[in-house]
This record gives sequence, C-alpha cells and structure tokens, in this order.
Amino acid sequence: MKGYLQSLPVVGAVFQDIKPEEVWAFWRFMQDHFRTSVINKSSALEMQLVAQALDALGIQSRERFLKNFTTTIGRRIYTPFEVGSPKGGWDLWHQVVVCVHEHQHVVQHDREGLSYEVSYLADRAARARWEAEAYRSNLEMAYWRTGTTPSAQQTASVLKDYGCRPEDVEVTAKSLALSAVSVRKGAVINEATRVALGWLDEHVPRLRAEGA
Amino acid sequence: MMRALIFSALAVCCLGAHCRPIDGCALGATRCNGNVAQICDADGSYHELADCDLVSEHSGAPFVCAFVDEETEDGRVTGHTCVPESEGGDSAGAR
Repeated sequence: MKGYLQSLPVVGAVFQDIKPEEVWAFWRFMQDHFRTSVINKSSALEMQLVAQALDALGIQSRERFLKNFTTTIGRRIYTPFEVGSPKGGWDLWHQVVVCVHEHQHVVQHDREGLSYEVSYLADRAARARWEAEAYRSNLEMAYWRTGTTPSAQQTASVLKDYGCRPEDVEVTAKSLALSAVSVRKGAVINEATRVALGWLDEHVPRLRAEGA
Repeated sequence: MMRALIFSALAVCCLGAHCRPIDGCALGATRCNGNVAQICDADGSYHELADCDLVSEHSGAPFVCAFVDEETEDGRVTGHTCVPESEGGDSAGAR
C-alpha cells in the first residue's frame, strides 16, 4: 500500500520518507562496494526459466516468484522493481532493506564459495540457515530505522515460501529472536548491514530512530 | 577415470550438503563454542549463530557469547547469543 501511495503522481512525495534519488545512491554504493550488478527480473531470460521450473515443480507460482521476490545468484541481483521507483509491495524503504538482505547473500557467496550455492539448493536446513542470516539484516535495519525489531516468528514464517519444513522455520524463529536480543543491545552482526549503516548514518541520519 | 569422477561428484555433493558428523543435539538448543554462539538445526547439528569477535568488530564495542533469558515482544527468549561484555558474566555453556 505504502509503495503504491509513494508512486502516485504529485501527492506521492508526501508519503516518501526517503527520496528516490537517495535509494538509488544507496544501491549504487552497495553495488560498488560488493561489486554486484542489478538486473530487472522480468526482463531476464534466466529468471523466466527459473520461474517456469519452480512453477512446474509446484514450489511457487511463476507470477509470485517474478513479482514478489528479489533473487541473488552470485553477484547478480534480480529485482522485481526499478531501484528508486516505488510501486505496490516495494516502497522505498523496503527497497533499501532488500538491498542489504541480498548483499548479505553475496557475503555468504564470498565466504563459503560453491558450497553455499549447492547447499542452498540441495539442503532445506542449510537454506533456512542462509535465509536466517540474511533476514537478520532485515531486523538490524528495522532497529536502526524504528528502534524496534519485527516479530521473529512472523519473519521466520516467510521460509515456508522457500520450501523449508516447519522445524526449519522453528529454529529460524529462535535464531532471529536471539539475534534480535543482541541487536537491541547494540550489536551489528551482519557484514552487509555494517556497510549499509555506515552509508545511511552519513547520508540520511534523519531516518535513524532515536536511541538506535 | 570413472572412479575419479564418482569421487569428485561425491566430494562436491558432500561439500554442498555440509557433510559432517551429526551432533545429535535437540532442535533449537544453543551453546557457546569459544566466543561463537551456536544453534542446533533441524538436522541435529550445531551451526554458527553469531561470531561475537566479528560482532565486536562490526559494532565498535566488545561482545561476548553468553546465555540470555529475556521477556520480549516475541515472548520469552532463552539461549546463547552475543551480548555486551559488561553484561556477559560467566553464563556461557550449553543448555
């Protein structure tokens, strides 16, 4: 809803807490730092093929995969939105958060090499661990922006969309809840968040919650 | 040649699936392994939750692995994680 309101001509600016050009500059900074590229998901042939395969396997509908999920493979980040252009489901701050989330996957790719990619695809428990780490960036960002952390249970429940089992979701919820305790005590755990917060503190300090 | 290929394929699969001995831990159990907080996953093995030395570097303040038991918006949260050194005490260890 917020993304839709932000996209309205003339009045949209009223709903924009962060400006489109700031979002664009942030993505540019993260891409330069981590040497990544951003590709529009709907125009990427490889994403059309993945969407088709996921649909055929009954894991996720083609439409949902292409519209609702950002996907990172190696150093290529496929987004279902144009960076800096708000739209329904992808408001401007959400675009900032997803940028950090996806770059934490790049950190995992750099740290673990091929075993990251293979285990992500082949092992549901491993996939849950990789996503728990990346979603930790979401809660770190939420704490910086609002001074609170979102529900770990609710955040972990999105793993059902990743083909994870209920027990994977359960351990992810606990992992996120423990991480949230650390974050509320001032911890910055993820590398991508550390880099992101450096830029945000310097360029948009007005968005930082008091006391965060 | 064929045998080498089979061994290579097995090695890659093993690497990919993080082939390692199962710890036989209970789902969601946590512990401190040195200054690293670990959590037991659905497959019965401990994995890193957070390396508190790295957290210290990222946060600009010393963090240590310790047991926490807190009432939060998520309900009661118990387990091992990184906390500021001043709060760490000597509460590390598996539970």
